[in-house]
Amino acid sequence: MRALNTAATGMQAQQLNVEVIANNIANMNTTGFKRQRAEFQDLLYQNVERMGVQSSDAGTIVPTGVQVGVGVKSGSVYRVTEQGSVNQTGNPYDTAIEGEGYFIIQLPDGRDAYTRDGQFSLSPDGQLVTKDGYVVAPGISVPSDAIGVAINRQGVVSAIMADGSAPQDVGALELARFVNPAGLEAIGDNSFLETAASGAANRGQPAAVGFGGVMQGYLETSNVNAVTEISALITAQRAYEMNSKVITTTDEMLRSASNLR
Amino acid sequence: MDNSFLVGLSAQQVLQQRMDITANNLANMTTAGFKTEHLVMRELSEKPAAAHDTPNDIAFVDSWMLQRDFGPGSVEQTGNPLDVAVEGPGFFVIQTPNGPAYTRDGQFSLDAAGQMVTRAGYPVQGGGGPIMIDPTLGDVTISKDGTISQGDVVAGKLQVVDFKTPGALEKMGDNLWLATDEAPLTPASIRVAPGFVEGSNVNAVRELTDMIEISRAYQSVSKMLSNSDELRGASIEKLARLG
Repeated sequence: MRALNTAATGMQAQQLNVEVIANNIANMNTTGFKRQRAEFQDLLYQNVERMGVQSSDAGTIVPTGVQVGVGVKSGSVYRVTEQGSVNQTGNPYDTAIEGEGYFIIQLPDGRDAYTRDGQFSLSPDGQLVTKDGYVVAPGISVPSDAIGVAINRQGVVSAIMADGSAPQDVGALELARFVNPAGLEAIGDNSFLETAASGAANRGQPAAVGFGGVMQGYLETSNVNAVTEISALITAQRAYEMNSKVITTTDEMLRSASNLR
Repeated sequence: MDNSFLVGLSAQQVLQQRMDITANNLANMTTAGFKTEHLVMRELSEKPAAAHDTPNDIAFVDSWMLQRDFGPGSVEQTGNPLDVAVEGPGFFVIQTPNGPAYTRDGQFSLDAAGQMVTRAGYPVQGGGGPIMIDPTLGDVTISKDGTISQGDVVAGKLQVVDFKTPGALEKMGDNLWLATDEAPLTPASIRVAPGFVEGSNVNAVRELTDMIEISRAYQSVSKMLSNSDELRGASIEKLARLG
């Protein structure tokens, strides 16, 4: 009976659903995390009686036929790139993007990674780096005699000097935008890589047309909504149970068939 | 008496098919835009082999057609600007490599070139062909009548079509439907819900009670079959003793 396999595909789908929800809940407090959503599609159909075929010599046709579906498959796990709320931290090197775009990080292997996590700090030689010590593009060095930095909405970083002279412009943060940000490849550590699906990075200044502005002293929280996730978890659990019920019921039917003799 | 076995067999075959369809409904409980379907059975009357055996026709069971429920599914807010649900009847038009297909699953995204596509990468059809989004312009918004715009620039309008008998569409999997012998109709006005996704309209309670009914019916036919078998066994034994 197909029902056994059909229910198994249903259980597998719900298992994936629970895994994705679990990852969302686990990353509820991860800076710049974007929640994911498992999406499902119906699997192929077997035509028992094709619709539209002639059912008699008089030319009558079968109006709706009989198609038996064989279950569900996981279509994709989609990343919802909705803006997370921003949290004030007071740390001058914390930055959040309000709107579209990603910070560009230079990985040690020469590639560029993209992140919404703006928890930066200074390296011993004064460069603006991530928590892992990777340089934030395009490379900003703060002089050693500066007592603080100011980052404006356009991403321009100015060093405030100890001697009270005018703030010194030391560079500007760059952002990257993608046609399809959901197509970026997550590599962990809150970072993403460009793929053929995301399209090439389109670099620009923060607060330019289409780009978000930079907020100093804030961090973007995850966009996970606990209530939504928990209700999705309940739905997934019940759907899983119902599919396992299909398996036990089918099993009973098969048993009654095998007990015929 | 053999007829009782064959009638029972026809009933069990159809019940298995009903079970398969119920299992498919439950497996697709969280599939976007999925529509529940139920098997409709019919009586297939045949004359008995020898008319003096029984005066009446023998009624077999046969699967006849699918009854598809096109009622709206639950609508869920997603916060994704490219998600859109059709309000009321109708389908989005998708350009697949094999021609147009129709879907109620409005979980769209952009491909690397800025074209609006389904998750499988098939272009979504607008009123005048595929919908292209200019990545250098601002955010994409979809209005209630399906117009897609970026700021003041209109990028296109989603095409929504309807069918006189949507039940006659052929499902091809991947949440897509194919037209069979009816051309799609374009309604005068359409309404969509941007930022929402239509879930499936599977009613879990209905499916579970159906499942119980099917399983019990199957078991009672099994019981009937084993009773017939016993009866036959007993009669053979008696007749053998006579001889």
